[in-house]
Amino acid sequence: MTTAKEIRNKYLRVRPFPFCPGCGGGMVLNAFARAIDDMKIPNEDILIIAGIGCSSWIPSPFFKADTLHTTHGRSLSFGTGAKLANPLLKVVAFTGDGDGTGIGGNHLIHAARNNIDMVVLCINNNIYGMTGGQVAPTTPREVKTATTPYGNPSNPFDACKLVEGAGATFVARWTTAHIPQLISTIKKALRHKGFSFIEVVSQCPTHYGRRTGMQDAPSMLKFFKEIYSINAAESRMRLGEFVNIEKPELCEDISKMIEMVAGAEQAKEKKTGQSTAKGATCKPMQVRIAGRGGQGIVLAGILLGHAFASCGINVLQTQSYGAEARGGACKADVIASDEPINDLSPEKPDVLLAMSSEALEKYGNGVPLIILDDLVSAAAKARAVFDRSAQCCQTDSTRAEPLASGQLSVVSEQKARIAAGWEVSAGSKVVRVAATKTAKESGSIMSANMGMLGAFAAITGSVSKDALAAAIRENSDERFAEVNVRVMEKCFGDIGRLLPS
Amino acid sequence: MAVKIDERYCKGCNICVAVCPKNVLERSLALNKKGVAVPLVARPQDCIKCRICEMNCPEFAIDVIDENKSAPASSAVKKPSAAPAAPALPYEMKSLAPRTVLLQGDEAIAEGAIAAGCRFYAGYPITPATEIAETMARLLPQHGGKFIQTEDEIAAIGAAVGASWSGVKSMTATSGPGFSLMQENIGYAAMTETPCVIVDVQRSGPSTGQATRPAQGDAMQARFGSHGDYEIIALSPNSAQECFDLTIRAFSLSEKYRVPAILLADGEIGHIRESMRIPKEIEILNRRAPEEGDSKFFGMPEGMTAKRITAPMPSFGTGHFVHVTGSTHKEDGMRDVTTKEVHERMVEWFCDKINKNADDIVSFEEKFTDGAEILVISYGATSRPALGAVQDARKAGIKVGFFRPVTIWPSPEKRLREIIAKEKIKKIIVAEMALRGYFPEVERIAAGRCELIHNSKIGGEIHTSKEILDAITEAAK
Repeated sequence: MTTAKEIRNKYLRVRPFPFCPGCGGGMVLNAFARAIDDMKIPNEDILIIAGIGCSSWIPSPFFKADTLHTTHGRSLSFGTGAKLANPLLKVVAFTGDGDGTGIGGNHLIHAARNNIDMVVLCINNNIYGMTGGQVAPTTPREVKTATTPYGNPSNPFDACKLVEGAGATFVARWTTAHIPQLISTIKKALRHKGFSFIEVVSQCPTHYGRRTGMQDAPSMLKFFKEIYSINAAESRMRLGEFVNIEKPELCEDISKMIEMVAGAEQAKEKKTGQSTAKGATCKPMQVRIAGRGGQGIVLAGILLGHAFASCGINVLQTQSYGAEARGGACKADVIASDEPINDLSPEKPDVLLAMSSEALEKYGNGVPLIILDDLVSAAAKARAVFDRSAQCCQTDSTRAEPLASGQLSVVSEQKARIAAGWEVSAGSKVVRVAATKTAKESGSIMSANMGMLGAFAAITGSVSKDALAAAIRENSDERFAEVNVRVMEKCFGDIGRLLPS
Repeated sequence: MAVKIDERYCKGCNICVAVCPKNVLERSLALNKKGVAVPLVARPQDCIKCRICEMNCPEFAIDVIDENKSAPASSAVKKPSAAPAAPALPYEMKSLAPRTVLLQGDEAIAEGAIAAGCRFYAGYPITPATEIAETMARLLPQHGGKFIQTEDEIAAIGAAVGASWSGVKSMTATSGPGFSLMQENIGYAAMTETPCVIVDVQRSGPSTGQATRPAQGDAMQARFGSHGDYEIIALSPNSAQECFDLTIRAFSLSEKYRVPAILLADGEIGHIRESMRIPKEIEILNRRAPEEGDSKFFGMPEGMTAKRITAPMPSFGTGHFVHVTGSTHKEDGMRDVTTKEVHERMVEWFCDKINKNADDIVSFEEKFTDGAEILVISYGATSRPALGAVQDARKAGIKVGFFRPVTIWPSPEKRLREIIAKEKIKKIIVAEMALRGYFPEVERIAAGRCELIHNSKIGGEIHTSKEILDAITEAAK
């Protein structure tokens, strides 16, 4: 057996410890050092993490290894980062019942759930010792402490059951009256791959013993021997190794995932980095696309933005929507400009692509060019407008009703009004596009937004069909890219045929 | 055979007396000079060398000495340390694939982080910063980096600090509520001189506020959010391009000064998509690694020069046995929480290394200040319509200038004071999406030398150029 002197020389950085006489903290450190020594783990490989409280001072800065003494309750979070960044580290946390299961309880259960490879020594002295003997999450009922002068009204935690429930793969409990067993269990935990939790019931003669009628450390150790046992009826008092199972470990899983992703990246043909369409040009323009959440309004805005950007023009794209992902009002703005763009919220777009009646009512006023999805006509209010405005241009895949002149529609000089008070100003051009219908016929109703973009490109000529197709292919979900392009091109063609050559 | 109790360390707890199976030891009533009743080795002849007393002594103060056995040589075999970090060059030019892209501000931040060499991200979803986490989750594994979604923002910043000490550049991103949760550990990072980047994509508060709407109310929190005396660096981007560029700069400054750097973006800039340019080459700075024999890893470095601004920073697992603590510590990392001079020396240094190097850190954008009588100060998203308004006002013949702090902290106070003094500025308009925001800092810098107008707008909508132009026109009357 290694002598005390050897242990001191190898594992202690400084002495004396700042603990009260008889504190169990030093006993746990002694046991830990012996476990490390037995296993011949080099000090260089060990990272000790600690939080706040007497328990955290046990190794910090006394144990000769890298030591990260963190904020109260947070050591496992810091340790998670350190371990993920360098999985070769042997990470050991010294925490207490308050630090670990009180303020740090959430980190404890999530570290257990993640099954990250670290050893947590939770030194449970049933009390907040460093601050002077206040009630802890582990203090038994009715015990009088500095903050429960009339007795503790709360139930104590069973920390082992807690982490077991959270998914820890190695769970054990001993007391400082069981040092040889503790050393053996610490060694098992250090060997275990995954989250290992050892609760060490420890004596605080100063604050807990005194308050429970035990004056010194030997009497507390005697008490531990009497009431803590392998067969204790109450689970909190039960000793032994409760869990020792195998489960995937977080660092290993993440490393495997990285290898997989890196492999897939290499296999992928190197994408041509430069997406600028050669020689493509586009016209500066402010576009608003509006409808309901779920119609792909934002995606349409993004893809249009990409198409503009590929021409080298300055592009700014914004959106707004409600908290709900589907069904709420939604809009996306795209500004393409030769100048730097300073106004981030365009007041007056040049073009509105409306895919719902609400969108038309909300944003249509005064916009020079309005492109409507065929869905909009289904709404009563909108129909009221366009039925009265005989000059509206309607197209769909089977029926085209262009104006006699062959020009785009111009709403009559008289303002067309609807009951809600919305009006189309004199001079607004309104074009209705069978985007949803075309999308439905193509077997992908979700692609209606792409139809709207195709119509927009055909009508305004501000961006080319090819630039749009490239933007769609590069930036939309692979599964839908081709149907998206088809719907866009169909609407582009249908509208294009109506335009004056 | 002898049992020796070292009186220098024994506290007289008598655990050894209780655990000895052969009753070798006995309680003593006599106190030594320190007032400790050290147990007596009453029956050494009965000792069976079980060493239970050694093993149980909380103070490591007992030696069971076997006279027949000579002290064995230390059995520790020095093994190559775990994953020694490659010695990082302080300056590095890094090549990128140059291209024009359309990126959301949040995405550009993630791209900038990857370009800067960030290989660890921990975060918790929160609007409007979530896209940073989503982009990092996608990009990091492609570059061999680690991503983790933590249980909350407290854990996120903790993990980022832990990863940084493992030698990896790390980042976390959040918005108001999460930024509030992170404050304690930001103070920890400042106290332990840990480089890391924290992104706050500001949203409308207080509390949950308008979760999906932008604001600029966190300027003071970014600097003063944690308790006690410390300094950080905060940069504020006003475009997707700057989200990329300033994230790289935030990493470099964070590494150079060993300080948490905050990218103070806002919901508007975080969520807009803009065309931007990925450059061919970027300059990045890295922390100074220890050299042979270095043992002081904190505080003012020995032989400080412009290129050796901080103490060297070792990585965990490289055999330096570094002790990192949020308690007041000396240059060697050892805790000293009672000596006034130590606290004074260290904490003053944490502040000085930033404040005294402000000229190196500070950046700003300045336009039309020659002969200006009115100065519009604005940063982040609001600076865009503010610049538009100033241009319009100039066209209308108003003598108005534009000033945009890019580093919010340290503030560009030196240059602002010069402009105010030299250009006969009569009025300053501060345009921002906050009721208090950055205004108190401008108030402090102006120090009563000119009239201050706060063009603040809250409610989750960014100023239009027209609104700021109206304020300028009004001020010019």
